[in-house]
Amino acid sequence: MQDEVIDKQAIDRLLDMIGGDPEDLQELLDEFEQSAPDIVASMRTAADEGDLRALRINAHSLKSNATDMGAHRLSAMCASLEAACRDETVREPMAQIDAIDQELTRVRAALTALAGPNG
Amino acid sequence: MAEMTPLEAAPNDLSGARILVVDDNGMSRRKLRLSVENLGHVAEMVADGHEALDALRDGSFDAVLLDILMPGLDGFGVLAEMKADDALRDVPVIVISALDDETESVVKAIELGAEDFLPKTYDPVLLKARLGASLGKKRFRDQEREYFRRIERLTEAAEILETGRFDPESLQLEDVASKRDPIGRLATVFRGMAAEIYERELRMTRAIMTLQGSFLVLAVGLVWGLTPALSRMASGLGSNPLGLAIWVNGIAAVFCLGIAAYRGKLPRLSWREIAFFFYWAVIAGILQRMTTFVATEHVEAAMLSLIVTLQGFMVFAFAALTKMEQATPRRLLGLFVGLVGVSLVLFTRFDMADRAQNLWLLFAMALPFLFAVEAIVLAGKRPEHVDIFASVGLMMGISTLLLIPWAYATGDLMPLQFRVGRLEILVVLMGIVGAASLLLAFHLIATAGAVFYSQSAYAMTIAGVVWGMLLLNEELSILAWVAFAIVIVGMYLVEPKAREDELLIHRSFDK
Repeated sequence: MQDEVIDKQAIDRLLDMIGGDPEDLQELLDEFEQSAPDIVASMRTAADEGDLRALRINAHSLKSNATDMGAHRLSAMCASLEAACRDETVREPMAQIDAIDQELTRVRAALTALAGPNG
Repeated sequence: MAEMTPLEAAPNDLSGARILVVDDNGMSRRKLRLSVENLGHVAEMVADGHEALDALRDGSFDAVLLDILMPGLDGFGVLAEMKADDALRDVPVIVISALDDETESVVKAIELGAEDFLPKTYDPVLLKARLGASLGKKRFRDQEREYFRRIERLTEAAEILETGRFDPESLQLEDVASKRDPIGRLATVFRGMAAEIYERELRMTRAIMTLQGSFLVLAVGLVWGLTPALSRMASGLGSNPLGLAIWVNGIAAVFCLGIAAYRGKLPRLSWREIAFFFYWAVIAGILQRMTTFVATEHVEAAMLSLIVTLQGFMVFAFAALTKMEQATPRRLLGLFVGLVGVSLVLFTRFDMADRAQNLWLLFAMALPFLFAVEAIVLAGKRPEHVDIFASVGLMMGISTLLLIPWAYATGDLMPLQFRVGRLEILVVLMGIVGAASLLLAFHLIATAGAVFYSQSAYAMTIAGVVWGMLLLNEELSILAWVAFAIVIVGMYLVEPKAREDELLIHRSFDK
């Protein structure tokens, strides 16, 4: 399961959480699709400006969203960045953000592939 | 009072509560909204702490789902502000947290007053259970608070009763009595009993006021009715009407102002108030007198008396037009009954042979009109802070000063002897009678209103007849007494004007 980019069970759990309507789920997937790149962009800006609090909050948001999507690896990467920000032990944040961005690209591709056959 | 939330409106149904979702993360916000709506509640979403506080203060919410880590004011800040605000303290807050790394945060949030917490990835059953528990507690607190509020209202109402205010409106129990629970029923009974006592006292007070007013009307009529008889006696002793009026008014002025001075109530007047007394003196001292002089020469005395009684209807019309007093059919009927009573006396005395007076009858209508204007002006415009004796004295004094040049021009100035003879005694008596009748009239207008007062014209006319019989040995008719009785029935129907101030009831069950 850890090898997978997306944990389908997590998506089922999300659907269960919001009441089971696939249209509502699609709404959430769209929201993730739109907001995740923005969050990464905000992370870059925060890292540029050395704003640890903003970086932490954005990492926290992407972590939560990734968890909801079952993107456990992405979530873990964000969690580690968030913890580093909180403890003020962050090193080379840009490299971490690049890695997060690459993982996000994989997650989005996996989500699109997932949505494709189902409609 | 803030508007009620659905939970307060229907406390036994936990669905349909208003939930505020506070999260900076758009996706989490949307996820929470969908979950909350799926449970049958209404969700409103805000993206940061300041917006959350604004929303909470604007509309009432039954619960808050609160994210901790937010830019700007974070969840801890929101919790601290809410607990410091009396209106928001009791709104339950459920903190949303990722359990893995935020145990410390959850502990801190609960210490700050959060009701419960929920992991970011939650089981919908868990959300339902925690939200349900929070809403249940809130419902109980709301009911408890509402219960105490209603008990407090009832206690306040009892305290209002203690001050003697039984008027159901001043108790303000409608709200408490509208619910059909034990407190509501208690409030209904409580209010009903107070209303019953109030109505009873109100009826009694009105009856007493009508009785007092009727007595005063008769007194005014009797005193005023004395004047024509005294005038006729004085003219028999060689006086002229204008010269007599100057002495009578002057003596009345000295008498009234003397009493006002003795009581230390001589007023300071503004120019507007002086103008008021001047106008009053012109109406009562000059215009009414001139009209009377001319009318008595051309209109038969009984007919003139009847015409003068029309002032009641004129005052009624004035009062109805200006909305100074209630104009009910019952009061109008009362005035008609009085007119019937007066007519009964006067028709037996008519001399219908003289047809030349028809046009003068129209002229004579000016007299009741002037009386009506006087009554309405006194009722509506009198300077209330000026003492009654000073008021009457001032008017009498000014009218005396106005009459002197007139009498001088017509050669009617009437010097009195310092030697005290019958005429001198009569003049002093007339001055006192004149003052007394005006004082009574003034008091009556102030307490019972212009419409009720105007009935004194009936009493005056009949009393004039009666005094004529007693003092001048004119023929006494049983009809005069019947007429008096009818006029009193009229007074019962007219009733004094309604009180403006609330009736206070002195309790007999004091501690």
